[in-house]
Amino acid sequence: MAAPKRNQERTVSPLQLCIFDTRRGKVEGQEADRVLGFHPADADSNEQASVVGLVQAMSAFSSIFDQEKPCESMHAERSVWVTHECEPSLWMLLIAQRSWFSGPVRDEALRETLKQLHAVCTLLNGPLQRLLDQDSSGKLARKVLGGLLAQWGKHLGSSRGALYQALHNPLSGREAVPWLPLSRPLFTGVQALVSRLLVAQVGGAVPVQGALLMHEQWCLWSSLDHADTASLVRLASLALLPAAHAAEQPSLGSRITSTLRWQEADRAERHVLDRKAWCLVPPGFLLLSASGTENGRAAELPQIWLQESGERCGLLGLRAGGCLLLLLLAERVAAAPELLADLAQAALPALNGIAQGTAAELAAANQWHIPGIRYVYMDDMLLGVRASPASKAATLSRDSQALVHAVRADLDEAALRGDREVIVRGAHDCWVVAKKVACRNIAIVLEGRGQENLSDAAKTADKYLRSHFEGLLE
Amino acid sequence: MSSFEAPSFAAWEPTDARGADGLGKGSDEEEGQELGVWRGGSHESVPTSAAGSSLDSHAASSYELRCIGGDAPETALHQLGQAGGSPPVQSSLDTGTGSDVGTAGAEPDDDISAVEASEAVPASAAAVPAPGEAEAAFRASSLGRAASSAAVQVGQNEDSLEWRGRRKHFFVLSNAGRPVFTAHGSEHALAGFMAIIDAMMSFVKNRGDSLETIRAGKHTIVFLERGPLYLVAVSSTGEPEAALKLQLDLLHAHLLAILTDNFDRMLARNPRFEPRRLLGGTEDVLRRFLASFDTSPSAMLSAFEPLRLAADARHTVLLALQSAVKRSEAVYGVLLAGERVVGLAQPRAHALHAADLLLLSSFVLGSDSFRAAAESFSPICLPRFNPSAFLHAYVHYLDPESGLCLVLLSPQQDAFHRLADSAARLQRQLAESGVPQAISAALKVPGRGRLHIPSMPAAAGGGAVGTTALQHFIYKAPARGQYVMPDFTAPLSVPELQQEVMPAYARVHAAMFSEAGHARQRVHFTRDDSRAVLAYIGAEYEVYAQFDALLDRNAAVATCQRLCAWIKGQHAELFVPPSF
Repeated sequence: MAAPKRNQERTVSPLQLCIFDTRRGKVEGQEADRVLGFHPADADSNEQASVVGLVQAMSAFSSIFDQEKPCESMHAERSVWVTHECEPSLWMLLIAQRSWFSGPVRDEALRETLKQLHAVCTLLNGPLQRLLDQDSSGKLARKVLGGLLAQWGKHLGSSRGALYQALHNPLSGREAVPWLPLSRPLFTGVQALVSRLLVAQVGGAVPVQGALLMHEQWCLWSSLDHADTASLVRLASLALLPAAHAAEQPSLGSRITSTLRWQEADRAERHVLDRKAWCLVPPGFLLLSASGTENGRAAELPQIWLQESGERCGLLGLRAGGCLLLLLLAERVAAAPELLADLAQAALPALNGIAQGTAAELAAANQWHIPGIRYVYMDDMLLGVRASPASKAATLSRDSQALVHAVRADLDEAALRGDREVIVRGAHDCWVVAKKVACRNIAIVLEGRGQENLSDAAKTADKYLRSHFEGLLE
Repeated sequence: MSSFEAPSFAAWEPTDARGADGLGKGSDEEEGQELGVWRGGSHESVPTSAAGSSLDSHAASSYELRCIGGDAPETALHQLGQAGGSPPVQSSLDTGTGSDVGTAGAEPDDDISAVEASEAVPASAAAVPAPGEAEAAFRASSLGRAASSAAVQVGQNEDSLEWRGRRKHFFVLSNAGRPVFTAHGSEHALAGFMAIIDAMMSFVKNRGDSLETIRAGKHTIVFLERGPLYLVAVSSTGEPEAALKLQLDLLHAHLLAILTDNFDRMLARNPRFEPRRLLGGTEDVLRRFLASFDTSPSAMLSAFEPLRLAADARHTVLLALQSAVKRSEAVYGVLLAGERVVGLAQPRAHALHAADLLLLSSFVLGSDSFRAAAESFSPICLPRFNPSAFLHAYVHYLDPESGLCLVLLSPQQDAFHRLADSAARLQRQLAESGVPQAISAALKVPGRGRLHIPSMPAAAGGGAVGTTALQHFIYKAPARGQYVMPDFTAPLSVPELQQEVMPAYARVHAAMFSEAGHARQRVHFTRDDSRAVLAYIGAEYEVYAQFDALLDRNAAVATCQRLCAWIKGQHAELFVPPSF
């Protein structure tokens, strides 16, 4: 077996993503038809079919024992395979070589990246099944998924990618939305602005169907339901925010190349998830760069699907200071320059004020850092998260990170089994206190605090719970 | 199992070296028969020829799977021809095996075979010109189809519900896909099923990887490759992967204990050999051993459980054991009361490894023939002591009723009479001091030779149900390699609740210790809707305790501390002192 082993080492990509349809490719010789999307795209089609075949075999094998949930994950000596049935008969698969991990990663965290991928895919294209219904040959679905998987693979596969970093942060909240609580006056201002926009009439129609307001990665307000909010925040933090940052603080290289015309043509091919597909147009609109608003043409807005209502909307970003306002325009509304000017006029003055106010409050609040502890708090029902800044989480020792990882994996496992409390002390001076009550859970790390025993550690954690999360985990 | 008894011990004379020679020669058929005789000849109640033809038909019917697994496909057509020639259903029924599989015996399996065979013909034709990646893709999809049809077939059968509903399954097969052992059902009827396991493991292996775990809902499926054997555990008990892996390792060690690693070598040399024949009648011993994991933490803690006994009686036992061991030139002497240890005589330099002791007691207690015979002399391989050679165990039940059993282990195969003389003298010594009565009495008081929470002082967490939140605990003295725990008492008097206890400890233990045994956590407290578990590592002990879920955690800590202090005062009665 030595020869195939070496061959395998040479060819296997550290991260593989796959989407397949178990209803397709049942005829012998047409197994490759099951695969709707694969990352890396240049993987041999036989390798793709063989990966899918193996997962189906494992799934069928485990269904002998567990018919409700066949094969959620497979661990091998060198790789971890995680599956997620995103829509009936449509499966997503993530295969990560262990060499790809830079630290401990939980199965559930890997599965969440698949869930996010599906959420963003649905946001941009509607349900996958709809694509297959539209074109039963699968060509349309493959085209859409090809672009999406390439982008997702880039964000997740590279150690500099946002998704990779979130996955390896032991205290990341992953798919949840980081809600930022605001002072009352500021919050009232936000609400007033969004309400005004939602009822504003332009040319006899109400163009704005929904709105979501962010300040950098924090979410301040959303008129959408939790799932749509989470997907939109994900899209914004992967593409729109980085695009805004790049435009606001351009690197030397990009300043040189931005003058070249060929880049415009190049942009037309780019995926919505790619930050380079977006450009910042005065007075602050984030638009797909190919759409251009010159010569009085209406901008082409990327269409998104809302899960809650099943409606399609055009997505328009408006940047002011650190704030990013995402406006969802009715499908039939053309983003003509006049409309954009009206919206800017209605929103910008208030938005600038909010941006300044939020920046001041954030500076005072030091971005949720609680001195003395590292923590992550999640609300699974509201899809909300609050956590120590990633830079603080990164200061934990390797042992402590492993400890948090183990405790959070324990809570993941208990997810379906009711409430749970876990307190552990590592082999070094580090305690992790974790609690799950209904849909809320928290993990607090006390490192190097000199707590001698369980009672002391629990008492300290309780003190923080009372002062910062009062009533949330009773 | 007559060969285990003293008069026939000469049948075991071919020791490991000669055994290995014998195994290396001749056809597998001859080897099987030869070994069958050596193992005591009780392995099959059916004529070898009938079993052989039936197995061949299974081998043929699962041809496609082995082809998928990467094994030589050249015999395919020949084997398929055989499958057609001897209808699998017919031959399975003829042999009379497989009706107890739970999955309805041979029928579903053979139905699977029929599906496979029908797919195999065009498949094999397509496979020939497609090497490398394309072949892998083809194999994977064939594997998928075969696994699906197996799942459908198993699922369709009403009788399979009971089989599938078992909390745990264990399977052992050779890496050529031949069934060796299953904890439930018959290996024979599960041949097709095992071929799928083989194909999956081989497929992953061909990718340059090694399959370890599959998680599916509340089921964890753990795979282990040891030499030429594949071992698989399927569990819905909530036990962690590490615990199941350890159990598979011990299952493999138990196979070695019965067969030595010649078994491995022989299979490696001749993959077509039918390994199941070697086990000849010892399947029940293995099944009892596997069942013991549900009630005993010995494997998890790598420690043994001593019988609670008055210190003077224990002292007498140890003195008698030590002199018996010295006099008979044995290496180890153990006095067992059921699965608990009354006394152990061992050289300090070569202490008996806990895993070996576990295998020894399973080997002795699992087989009824030892109990029935006055004295027995049997070879056993203790893999931690020496995986390639047999020790010779002299087994004598001093009191079959209380399970009081003396085991003396000697490296010499002609030691029977010396050991028997020493044992007789030991028995006299113990009888004179009234030790058997003391042990019987210890087994009759509440707790049955274990601690008894209702009889323990309230300060140490004792008391009747309702007055204490302490439900169960394990106290391990790592330096001695021993642990104590109480008998199950209310509220854990129902089997359904009792079977939750060990998995809960196993989860905590797996979180606290790495697979190599290094402590990753020193304190672990967890509470869910059904229980609170507190575990911590002290200077001289490890303690694991289960409490009522409503208990305040400070109270749990205080109770544990007082419990450990109390146990420390009872050491003489609870633990076996080190000997020699």
